[in-house]
Amino acid sequence: MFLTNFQQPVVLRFAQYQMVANQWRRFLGDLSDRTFGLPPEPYDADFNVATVNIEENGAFVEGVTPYVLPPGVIRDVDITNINNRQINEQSLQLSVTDLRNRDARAVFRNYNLDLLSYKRLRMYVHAQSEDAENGEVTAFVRLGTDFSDNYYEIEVPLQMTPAGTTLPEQIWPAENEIDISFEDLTETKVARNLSGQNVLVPFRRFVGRYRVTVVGNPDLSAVQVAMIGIRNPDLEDFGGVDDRLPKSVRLWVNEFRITEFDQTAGWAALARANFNLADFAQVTASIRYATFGFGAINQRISERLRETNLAFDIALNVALDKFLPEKWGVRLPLFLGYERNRVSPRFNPLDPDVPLNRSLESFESADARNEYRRLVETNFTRRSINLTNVGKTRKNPEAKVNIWDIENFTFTWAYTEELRSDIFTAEFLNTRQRFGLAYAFQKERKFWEPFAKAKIFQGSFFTSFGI
Amino acid sequence: MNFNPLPDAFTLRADLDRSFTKTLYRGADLSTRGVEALFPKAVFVYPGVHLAMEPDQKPGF
Repeated sequence: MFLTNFQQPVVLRFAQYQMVANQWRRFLGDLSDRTFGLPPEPYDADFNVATVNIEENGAFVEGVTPYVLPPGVIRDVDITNINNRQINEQSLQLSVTDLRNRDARAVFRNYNLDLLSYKRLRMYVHAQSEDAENGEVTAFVRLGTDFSDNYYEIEVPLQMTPAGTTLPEQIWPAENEIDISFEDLTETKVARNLSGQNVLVPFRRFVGRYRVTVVGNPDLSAVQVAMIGIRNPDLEDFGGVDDRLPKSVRLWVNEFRITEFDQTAGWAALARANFNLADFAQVTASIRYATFGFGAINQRISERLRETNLAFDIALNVALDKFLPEKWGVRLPLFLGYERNRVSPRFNPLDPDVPLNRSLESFESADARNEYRRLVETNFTRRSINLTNVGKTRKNPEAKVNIWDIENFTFTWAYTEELRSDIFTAEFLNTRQRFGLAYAFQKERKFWEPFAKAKIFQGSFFTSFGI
Repeated sequence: MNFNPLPDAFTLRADLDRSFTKTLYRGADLSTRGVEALFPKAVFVYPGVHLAMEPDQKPGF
């Protein structure tokens, strides 16, 4: 920053030189209602994004609404400071001038959120305007995977706060607050899907005072963007009469948050058995079961199980040679293994924020429901049978070892079959067979010792070095 | 010094791996109508010979 060309001496004082973060950015795309009318002429609605806070905007000035804390909100205290200073509390301010009818302005922020384990979305909203009456302007929140084709939108008609009001309950009216359950959003999507409407056309439904819109296939388990905006809607959509005039409005939005956990309690069990049948066989078996909602104590709420798992396996080692005469010296170890794993998802994998049971209701017959339930399961089966190191052991250690002895050979055969199916794969089959033949011959070692008898190496000179 | 120019142990190995995979994806209607399965197959052969000629004492004079 520099200042030049002063004719007179001046004194400049600077206060609060601050870096300002902009997590919320202005959305520059078109948010007007898509209708078959004429394309909207571009114009400047003077969309302005700023912050208001209790330290700078909390003063009581005649005719101006001061910034106050929303009812129930408590300022944080910096306890590391010797004065126990209260931390500033601020809101995002969005303002538009002459926003045309059916048009909107919004700010957005990129996220990477999984909201499946949470229950409600909440936000405080304040609005003030010189030309808009109560309910003529709406605030909206979009959550989705993109801004315009796959999103949920919650829209609330706004109560305007008269200028100069000082009561927190009037500055942040309860009617403006967004407090909606995520289930209301997914139910809107289910209703849209049941109605058979084209997914690209916005599907709207009223939930209490909110208007919920679904476009495309948004997914609460993978929210990529959030958007907060102001709209001058066509009041005929809300059952009123619209004056079609542009509106100027200023919005404060505060404490955009998700609340309440899904507290479904899951359980898990594990059993393991180990049998030894003398020296003839060994059996190992285990079974594991865990239901939706189960999680270890150190796991976060979104890391808890989203499916019901059943897994069991049994492994059998048999020394088949115990059936043969011992003097034959045959080695015949057999391994049999079986493993199965079934994962039944709680949420429909093709619509990951809708519970599977809710999706199943759209099927007409019990057969179709069971068929779909089977389709979305992930099933895995592994079977194996092995004969490892089959051969004959030498019974007489004194006998001469010949190069052609049958004891020199060992044989291995292993067979494994894996079968898997899930919602994307009807069948994945992998079979593997391994044959192995090994020959090993070891004769008695004979060493050639050319200097064994040479006297020169037996003298005291070499032996004294311990060689 | 002990020395033996002839191998005193040798092993031969022959391994044969046969692998067969079938992958059948679902179509858009989640059925397998009109979807071709994929069948990659593989056969691997691993022969191996090992001769041991290790003196059993450290060379010394």
